[in-house]
Amino acid sequence: MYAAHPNFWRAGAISSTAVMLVVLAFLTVDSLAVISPGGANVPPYSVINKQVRYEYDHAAGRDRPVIGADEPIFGRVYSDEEAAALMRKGKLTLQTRNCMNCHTFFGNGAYYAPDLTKAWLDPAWQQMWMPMTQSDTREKAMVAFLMNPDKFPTWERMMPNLKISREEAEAVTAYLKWMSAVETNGFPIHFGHIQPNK
Amino acid sequence: MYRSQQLALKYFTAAMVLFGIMVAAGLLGASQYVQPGLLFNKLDFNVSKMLHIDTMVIWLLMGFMGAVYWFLPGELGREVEGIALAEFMFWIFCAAVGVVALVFIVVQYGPANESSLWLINQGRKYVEAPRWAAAGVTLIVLVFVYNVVATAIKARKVTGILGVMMVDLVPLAGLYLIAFPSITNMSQDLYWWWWLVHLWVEATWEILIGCIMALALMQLFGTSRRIVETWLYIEVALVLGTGILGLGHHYFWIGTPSYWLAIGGFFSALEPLPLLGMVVHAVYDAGIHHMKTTNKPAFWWMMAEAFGNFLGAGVWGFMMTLPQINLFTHGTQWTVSHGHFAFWGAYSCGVISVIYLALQKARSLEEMNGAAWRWPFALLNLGMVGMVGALLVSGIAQAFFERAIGGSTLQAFIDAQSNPWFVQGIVMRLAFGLVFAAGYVLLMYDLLTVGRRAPYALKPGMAPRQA
Amino acid sequence: MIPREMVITSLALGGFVLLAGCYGLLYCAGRLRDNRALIYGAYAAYAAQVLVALGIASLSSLGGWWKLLIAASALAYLPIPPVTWRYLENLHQATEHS
Repeated sequence: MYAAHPNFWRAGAISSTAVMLVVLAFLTVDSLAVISPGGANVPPYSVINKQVRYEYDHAAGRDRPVIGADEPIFGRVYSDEEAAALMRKGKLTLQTRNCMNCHTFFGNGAYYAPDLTKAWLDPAWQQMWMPMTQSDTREKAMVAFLMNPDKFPTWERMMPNLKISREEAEAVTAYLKWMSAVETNGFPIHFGHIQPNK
Repeated sequence: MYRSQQLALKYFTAAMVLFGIMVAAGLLGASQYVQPGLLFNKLDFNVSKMLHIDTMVIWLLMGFMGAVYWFLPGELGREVEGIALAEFMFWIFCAAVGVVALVFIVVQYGPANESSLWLINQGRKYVEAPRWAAAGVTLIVLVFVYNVVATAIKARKVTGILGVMMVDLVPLAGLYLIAFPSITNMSQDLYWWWWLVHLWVEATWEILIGCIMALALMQLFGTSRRIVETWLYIEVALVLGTGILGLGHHYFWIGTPSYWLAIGGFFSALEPLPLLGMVVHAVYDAGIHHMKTTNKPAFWWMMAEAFGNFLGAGVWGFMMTLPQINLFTHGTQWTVSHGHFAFWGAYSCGVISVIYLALQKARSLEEMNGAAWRWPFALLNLGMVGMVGALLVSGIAQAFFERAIGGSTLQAFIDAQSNPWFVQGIVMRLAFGLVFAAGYVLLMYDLLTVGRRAPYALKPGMAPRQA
Repeated sequence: MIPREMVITSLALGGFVLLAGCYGLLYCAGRLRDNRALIYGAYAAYAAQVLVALGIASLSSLGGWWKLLIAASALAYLPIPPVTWRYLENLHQATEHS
């Protein structure tokens, strides 16, 4: 019985692995182009100067990010270079403060605190934190909260104070705005729409 | 005993100590869910969680390395080449783990710049270790690869199992390099991060534990080399054939193109098929040997591995892997339930099994039995099944109340986390975590004293080895 | 997909694989003990698995492709225990004779 011989299966192992790796390589080249800033699914960093919405698309059958008119963040317009530097600072803050071990990004991370994929669009900023922090814009409320999260809790599980500076908090806020404009195939589902319980 | 095998016992000891730290950090994290004020602003959940998962990665890695150092001299009939360097690296490894743990606990955070990534914390789940430590891990793994390859060259012999292992060690070391970059774009960062996490856990580690289990089976049952090698090749073909593109199930929602929904879903739907074959194999092996073995604990832990893998990866995985379902379950306690069960079944049970096998030889025991191993076996498995069951209840509640009806916002998250179903699940998880911890204590007792307690059957003419 | 259906479908998918496990386990137990009743039990578990697959295919609102995949994989589970078993037997015999 040829299938009882180890060499038969060794050949099978090598060839199936090789085929899969080649397919993965092609898909990786394509995917990296789609998810580079300015690619089909990921906006350029300068999207932070625009309004970002998340709306139901009937053709796709799910919610999709919509980039709207100009909407400066912190009352100013960032050039491409400035936006990139701000995003870099934001990402470094997310990493050095270990955000991913409580929160999730695109659903990846820990599960102790809410997912941040669409956090920029969360109604809680306007409904809860703007009055609480006495801020007149969403981004100011986010900065105030990030700098002193333990002073502005919304429930018993509070965010600890991670000594985030104003500069870092602004960078994180801008980063979250950019992230909310990434096309995520409809994740998280029903964001902002409450469904009937059937 | 070869020096390499003495080194293996050191690695096993370090692994089991880290297992304990993992359990303690897990209990702390589980308690913080129940009592959110616990150590608030002192040692927060992100630190306890990080300690929990990083010690898991390191203890399993140390367990694998120990297992290889244990079996390698027997497989090649000679001492491991470069053993002095390997012994030195072991102490470096322990020292580095200790320093990193101290930095995580004491320093915790740094300002948002590159030097924080080099010295304190990289903040990427599973690979948080600062870059200096990541470089150290790379070096340690490279020395390990050198040990294996150089020994085979000196012995002028490569068995089929060693061949698979050596090829596997290349991506094992290579993929770890993904631990270093810090890409600004979250989508691309996560794209590569999943190469590391998925292709380690669901590909290279699977193959490595497959090799280790093959060597263990030969020792446990005296199964012939031809059989275990054939089976190993089949496993490699199936695991990599479905697992490499199974990577796609992590690319559903990170910004990647929607064709990954079809690819990821398809290949993960195939993943339970080989796992069923492995269950059949385990039962066949147990049956033809009439469950007779001189090492009962090693045998039962191996069985726990086969069944745990099927349930944790197969059943729990399939519940949530299709994209239409995963859209609701992704990033909830449902994932946590699956992760605990799958890691336990796929790796932890196997490492414990190998440790029992090694101790039988190390302490020259004719037969490894007695009552003591049964208690940790029962408590650890009961604790794990209880935890994943409780987390499943919480996970279903979260997917339902937060995602399906709540609208996935902060308020929806809070509502789901406060839901009685969720809360009960999370309390029961802590309770079963305590059962698991009790099992760990008894496991350590048994491992430390097995063969040193009377009455024990020793090989004729041998005295028990005193440590 | 409505909320309750999401939970029911995913539990059905878990049950689908779990029944495959029962099928494999009972089949092996039956072969080991040469017990016909256990083998019948194994096929009963498989029948239940197919019923679950049919239920998912006809009642759930998963996409057509996924329904087809579930149905096809239900068929793929059928030969796994007997074929693996026979293969292992042949492998062991071949090794003993060589």
